[in-house]
Amino acid sequence: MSQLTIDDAIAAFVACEPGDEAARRRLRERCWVLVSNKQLDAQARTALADAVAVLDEPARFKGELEAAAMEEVRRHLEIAVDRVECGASAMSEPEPTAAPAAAPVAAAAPAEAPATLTIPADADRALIEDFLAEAREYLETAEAALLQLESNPGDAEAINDVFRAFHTIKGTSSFLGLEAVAGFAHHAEDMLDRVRGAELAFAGVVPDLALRAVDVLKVLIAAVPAALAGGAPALPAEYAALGLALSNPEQHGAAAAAVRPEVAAIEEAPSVPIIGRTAEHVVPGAPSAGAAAHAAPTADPLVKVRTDKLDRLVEMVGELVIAEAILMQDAVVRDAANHGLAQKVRHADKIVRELQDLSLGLRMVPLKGAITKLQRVVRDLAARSGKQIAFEVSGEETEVDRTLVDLLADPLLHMVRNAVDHGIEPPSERLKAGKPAMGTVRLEAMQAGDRVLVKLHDDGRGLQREKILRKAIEKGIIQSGDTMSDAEVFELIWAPGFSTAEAVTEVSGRGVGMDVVRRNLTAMRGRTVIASTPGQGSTFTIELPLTLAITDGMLVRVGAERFIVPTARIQRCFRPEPSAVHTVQGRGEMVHTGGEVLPLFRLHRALRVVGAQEAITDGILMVVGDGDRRVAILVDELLGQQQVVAKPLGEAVGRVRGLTGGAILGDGRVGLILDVDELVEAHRSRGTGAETAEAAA
Amino acid sequence: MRFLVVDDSATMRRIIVNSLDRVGYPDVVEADDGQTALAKFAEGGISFIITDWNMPNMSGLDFARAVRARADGAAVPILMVTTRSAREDILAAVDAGVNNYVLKPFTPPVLKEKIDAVLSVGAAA
Amino acid sequence: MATQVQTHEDVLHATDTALRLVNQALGDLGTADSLAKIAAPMAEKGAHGSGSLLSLASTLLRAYAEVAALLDRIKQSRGIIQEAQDAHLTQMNQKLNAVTSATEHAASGILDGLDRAIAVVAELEQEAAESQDMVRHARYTALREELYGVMTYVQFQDITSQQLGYAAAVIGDTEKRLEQLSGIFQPFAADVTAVSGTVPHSAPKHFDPNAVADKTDSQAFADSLFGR
Repeated sequence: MSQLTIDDAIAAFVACEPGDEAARRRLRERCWVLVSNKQLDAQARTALADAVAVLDEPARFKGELEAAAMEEVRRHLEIAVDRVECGASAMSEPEPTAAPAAAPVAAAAPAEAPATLTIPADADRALIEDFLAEAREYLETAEAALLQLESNPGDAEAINDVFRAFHTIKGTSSFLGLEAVAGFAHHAEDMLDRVRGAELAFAGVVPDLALRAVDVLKVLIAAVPAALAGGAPALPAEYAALGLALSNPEQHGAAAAAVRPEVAAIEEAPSVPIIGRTAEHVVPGAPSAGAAAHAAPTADPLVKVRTDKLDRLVEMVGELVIAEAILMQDAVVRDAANHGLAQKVRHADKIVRELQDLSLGLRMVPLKGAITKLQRVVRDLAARSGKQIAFEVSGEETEVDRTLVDLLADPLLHMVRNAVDHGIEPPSERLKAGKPAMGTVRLEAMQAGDRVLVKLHDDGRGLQREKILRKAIEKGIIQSGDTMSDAEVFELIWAPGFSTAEAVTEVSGRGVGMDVVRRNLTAMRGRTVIASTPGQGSTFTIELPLTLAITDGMLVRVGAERFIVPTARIQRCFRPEPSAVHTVQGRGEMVHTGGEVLPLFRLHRALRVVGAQEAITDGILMVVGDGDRRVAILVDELLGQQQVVAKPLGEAVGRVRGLTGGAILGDGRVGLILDVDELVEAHRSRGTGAETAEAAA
Repeated sequence: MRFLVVDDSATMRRIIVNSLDRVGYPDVVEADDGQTALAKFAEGGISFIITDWNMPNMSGLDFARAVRARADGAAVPILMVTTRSAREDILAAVDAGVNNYVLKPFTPPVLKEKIDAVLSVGAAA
Repeated sequence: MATQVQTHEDVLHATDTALRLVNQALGDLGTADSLAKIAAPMAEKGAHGSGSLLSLASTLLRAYAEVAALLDRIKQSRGIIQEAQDAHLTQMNQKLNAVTSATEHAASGILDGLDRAIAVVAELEQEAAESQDMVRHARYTALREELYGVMTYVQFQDITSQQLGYAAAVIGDTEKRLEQLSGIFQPFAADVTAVSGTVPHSAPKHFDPNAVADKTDSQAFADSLFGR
């Protein structure tokens, strides 16, 4: 019964910013749907058809022409609105479906509300899928805006963002026949409309109701695929009561708040697809476009691309770079006689390099998506535990490879949960310790060279050495902690079995332990550092490479083989004195350099390369790894730095310990990329690392 | 498992023997300098050596070298317990073939930790 | 730094040579040739002007007088050195040795006492266990652990005795040196020989000069070498 109305077309028109092609397309679609609505006034439909005709001429929207074209669209829409309105007032018995949006679409009492989410048999699946992606974006924006409103209730722009989200979801879902979604969104829209019109203050239960409306909509949107698959998912328990509260916050708001399930939102949150996890992704049209932080997603010209296509593109560009590199090295091309050819190839080379940079940039997305979700987690956890916490975020526009955003979600959640649950003290304890009652959790994201740093700082009590030790001993992870340094004790929280899946599930909804989180990070060449001062708080730092596709590597020679060592992992290289090497009983060779001792790792032995230097003074030592997990790797020669496109080793070779993959070098031969951490680990556990990995090339 | 404890200070020997007893190694032979210790080692049956460094007649370092030079002494674990804390000293001990190094004063848990570490490496190899 | 301490003949000879050189320089001042030689660099510096040649002569004369006076005083102080050697150092060495053996004795006494105390506590512990008194049993166990802990602290004796051993060796060495020094100024002492300059040189060395109680850094270094 609820259908797209002329108001939806107006809203879409309002959302059109100059140059925003996507928004214009949305406007065009809405107008077109209204044109085909036979219940609408005939003259209104004609006017709308005129608007569609204008919108269908892309040439008219180029550059300065756009303003005039939009003005023409506006005139047609005005006529249509006039016709609909006078038609409605003139007709004694108005068609219920032609009523403007203000008419209650689902004013039905809660009892009459649908109990399941159903989809019309003739639904256009492609359109629905488009809608889902769009709705998720709107909800993310709305959630961010609502959190923003908590600290600044007067922010009209933020209120508009929220309104626009509810409004658009209502319009499109109604058009697609998703009645349950449309009905609920309508209530939410109504309330926000009243806030927007200063009729209702954004205070008391209102902010909470709005946030919960976002939650319910997320659950509804997440349930649509199941409905599409032929199922009939049940509506959330809150659906009816919250709908009623939204339509009349003054009367029903308090009652709804009282019956609110305490942790429902938290438990549901993970099941809601967030930006990083959706099958589709938004890619900024231009690098700078993503910086317009506050505007609704419609404000930037965006194109949706399937991520698998995007990944394939990046992969193909990688192949192209390699193929081109091989071509460049070809004797025919390098032959000075072929001057013309060489020039053309060089030109192609330049284009290929640019293409490579560009394609890698395509996969870069801001961290914002992953962070927005955390604001919510902090808010809910703080409320539940009776703590006062200010969550400060900076650098959320920092861009990283899409796959890494996904990867960050779990560790960030763990870190935030840890900070709120264990870090920040209850207000009374804080006051006693001479701190402000309100604790601060600060999340900072920044780019440092080709790495991304995400730091989570809390000003709570700091990690409690004794408590961690007690738990670790209890869990049988260690026997005694007497001789452990603080850093080593803090590291224990990553140990397998330290954080129980049970405790983790409470927030994340997944039974993923800290050890798994850590392993995933390391697999992506990431690392974690924990710093903590008793009474002053803790800082967790996650460090990740910007992208996984390209590795800055040091090319080294061992015998006749060449290997690539990620430059980020190399601390320094030096030629050792013969007296620097000491053989420690039962442990193997150690190098004494600059006041410290490092295990000596003869790469050729580990990788069984023949013909390499045996005498330490004839080779070069490379110090790799971090902290006490460092080793000095002996190689024959450093061949120089170069960027390589990392590729997994083929199926035939499989996973080889100590190697992360291969890369095709300039001359077309394969160079293997060393997994520094795995080598160090193998060395630590084996003593001499005599048989770690086999050279696969 | 029989231990050989070498130290010129009777007090230190008592403390080491006592500590060993507490961490579960009651079978101990004592010597008060390197030469005596070498003779005791030659008698056989020693499976772990704990030695001081500074001793009259033969130092612990020379003693360690002498043990390593013997066919039956190449693999026996040697733990050096000493006050000598200079890095060159520690490296010299490494080169002489000791398996681990504990600085005095020590506590029984530390002693046990080092013994365990030496034994576990030996077991894995 | 294996510097050689010269014999008294060497010293006296060197001093004599130096004085003769000074004398010669003063005599040379009279000739025009050497005057020009000395005046040239001085004029360059412009510090004193050519007129200060006379003041140079007087400076050298004063230096001569000072050196002579110093030599005289050193000869006189020989008696004091001998006195210090005889009375103080020997006495101090004896005292140090006494302290060392006293700490040894004390440590041994403490260990004996601890052994007896632990035996008694162990007995009480056994009794408590037999009478099923778990609270008392736990207390005795804790006490026994405490006594064991005390025992490990007796290691201080080994460390202090090594320090005292070092101090005694330094004093012994100083004694020898003083003996030698006084010999230098003994005009007709025939049996003086050069001594090595390393401190201390007595062998065999069964003490650690650097024995101290806090060596966390060094243990950490050792741990990084041997692994954990």
